[in-house]
Amino acid sequence: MNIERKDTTLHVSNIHELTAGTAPEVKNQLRLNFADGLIHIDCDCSNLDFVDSSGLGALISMQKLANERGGKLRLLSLKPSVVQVLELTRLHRVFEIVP
Amino acid sequence: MNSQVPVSPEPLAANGHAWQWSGPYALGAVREASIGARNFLLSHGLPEPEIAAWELALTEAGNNCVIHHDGGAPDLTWQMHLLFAPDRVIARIHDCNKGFAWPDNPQLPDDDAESGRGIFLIHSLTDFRKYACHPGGNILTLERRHKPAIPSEDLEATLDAMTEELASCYESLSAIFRFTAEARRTTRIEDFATSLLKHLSTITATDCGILRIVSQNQLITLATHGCEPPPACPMDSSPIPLEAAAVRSRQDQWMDATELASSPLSGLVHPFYHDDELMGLISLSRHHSAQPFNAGEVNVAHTFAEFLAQQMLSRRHEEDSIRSSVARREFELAAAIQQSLLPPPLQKIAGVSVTGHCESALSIGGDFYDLIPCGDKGYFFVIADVMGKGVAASMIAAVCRSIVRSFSQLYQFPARLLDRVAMQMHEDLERLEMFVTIAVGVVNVPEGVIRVANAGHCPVVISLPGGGFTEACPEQPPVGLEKNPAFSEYEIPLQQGMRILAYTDGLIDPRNQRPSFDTQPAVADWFAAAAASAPHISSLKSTLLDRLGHSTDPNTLADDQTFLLIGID
Repeated sequence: MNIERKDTTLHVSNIHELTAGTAPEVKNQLRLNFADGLIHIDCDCSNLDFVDSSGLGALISMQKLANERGGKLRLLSLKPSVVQVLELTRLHRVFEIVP
Repeated sequence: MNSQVPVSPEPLAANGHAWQWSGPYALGAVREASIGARNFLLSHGLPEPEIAAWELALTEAGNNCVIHHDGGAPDLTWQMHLLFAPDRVIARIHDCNKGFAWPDNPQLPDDDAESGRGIFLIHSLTDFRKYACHPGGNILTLERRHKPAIPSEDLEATLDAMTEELASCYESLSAIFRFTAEARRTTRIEDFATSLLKHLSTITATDCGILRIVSQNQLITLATHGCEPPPACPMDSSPIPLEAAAVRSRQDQWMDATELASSPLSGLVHPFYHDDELMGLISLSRHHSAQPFNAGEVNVAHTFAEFLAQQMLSRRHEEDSIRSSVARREFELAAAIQQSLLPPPLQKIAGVSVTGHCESALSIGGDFYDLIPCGDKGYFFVIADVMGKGVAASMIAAVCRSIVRSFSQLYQFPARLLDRVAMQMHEDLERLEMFVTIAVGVVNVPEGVIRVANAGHCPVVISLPGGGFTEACPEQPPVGLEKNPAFSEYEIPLQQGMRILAYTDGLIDPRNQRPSFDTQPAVADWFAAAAASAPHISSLKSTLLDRLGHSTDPNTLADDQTFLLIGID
């Protein structure tokens, strides 16, 4: 996973799987890197191949992190298979999805 | 669905179409198992969407085994068995946990819940589930039928469907380009919005669309498609519950199937913003289908809303620009009017020379001076400062000048003239909460006298030929404050070499980014000294402008600077 700061946005990328096995570490890294002055999170999902219910929980956790500072989470370049999981759980209504 | 089951799962198959895996209670092992299952199903030619569904369902099932494991011997394992049957895949997951009550009808948790979706996903992805719980272990059996293979005669239909989907994407993109061109041509935002909403309804297969925008804290309907326009309402108290919820939460609101025949079966209300300002709401709904909006349709709706918001901002910017241009033109006209208030080149009167200067801090201000020849006897002079700046001050200045000029029969009696001016202007000035400081005077050469009356204005300074000066100070308040004031009058004998300075308070305004005077006495002292050494009032004017750091940049002036010089030759 890559984490990079750009202005007030934390850019997260190169996540291949978000599962019960990987989600705790992703959440932990985000909390550590979401420093003062950061407001938004952009999650580049172009390499994200698989997400399970715990991975969805990690995305919701990211969204809460941003919302607490008046910011937002954007999911960029989602693969169709991941979009299907979001639709199945109706979370496509919750996240800002940027094709 | 709990029942007594054997501790070990029954063999699923012995014909080579089965796969099994066994591993430790660790989350890392779950993915090892589900990836193994994926590869097994791939080797049997199962289509990718089917494989993806199984991979997720088995991962969730495996996660449950590991997460609910309560320790015990470290070498304990859980197992996954798969059978590839001609019409379905059957999976059995066996663990040795205590087990739990498997819900018959699992529901999604709240949107902000970080867990609780696993069993819902398993239910959604499989056709049959059985969770058998036993003190020695549990078996979860899952089945999912293969999606029927596409008959060759249906391939064309499938191809058509795919083409249609692609066309829909293309339509979204081309619609944006089309709208961009249309927005430039359409003069009314309502027409543009109607066209946009119609296209959006087509692309998202909705039969009702409403586009509302915020104007002066009201939600007003800009366009509708397939339904009646709802009435305007206060922004924060829409009678439409989903609109009100969208404004309150600043998030999309959803309509799902209801039992009311008249209600939409599915729908979306999307609030759109610019920065933090709510620009409007797009509502889309389906009465003919309960099909929920997918992510692509939501994206199209969001994109269209964003596009509309940009157009609205662009229009707003255009309107502001026009308004600003009109205001600028009005200012230019008013400034021209103000300049026209200043006296034209005057006839020369023997024994008296006059000059003046008026510079506005803004393009128009409230200062003016006037010089009116009184036959060949001398001049009547006026210097005034209307409170405030801009068009209003300029208009009052014009009115004041006209009223003063209308009492020409009183030019020789400045105090009586001011009485009349004050009476005439009081009502208007009081209503406008404005006032005018004004000093008027007359230089009468044959009579050898100067008479001055001062209504709240800066002192009129009269330098004396032998040195020193005298002043006509304000004895009464400015015009506009009292209805019937009685002004007093200074009468000073004329002497050759006298110089008279009447000025406005712009000469002593500390906000000027120029070297102004500090106080009124400082003006008088400086003037008395300068007048003694200046051979003529034209050179005295140049000296005074130099002292004031006169520049062509009006931005360095915080207040109008106006003065009038009269010399007795």
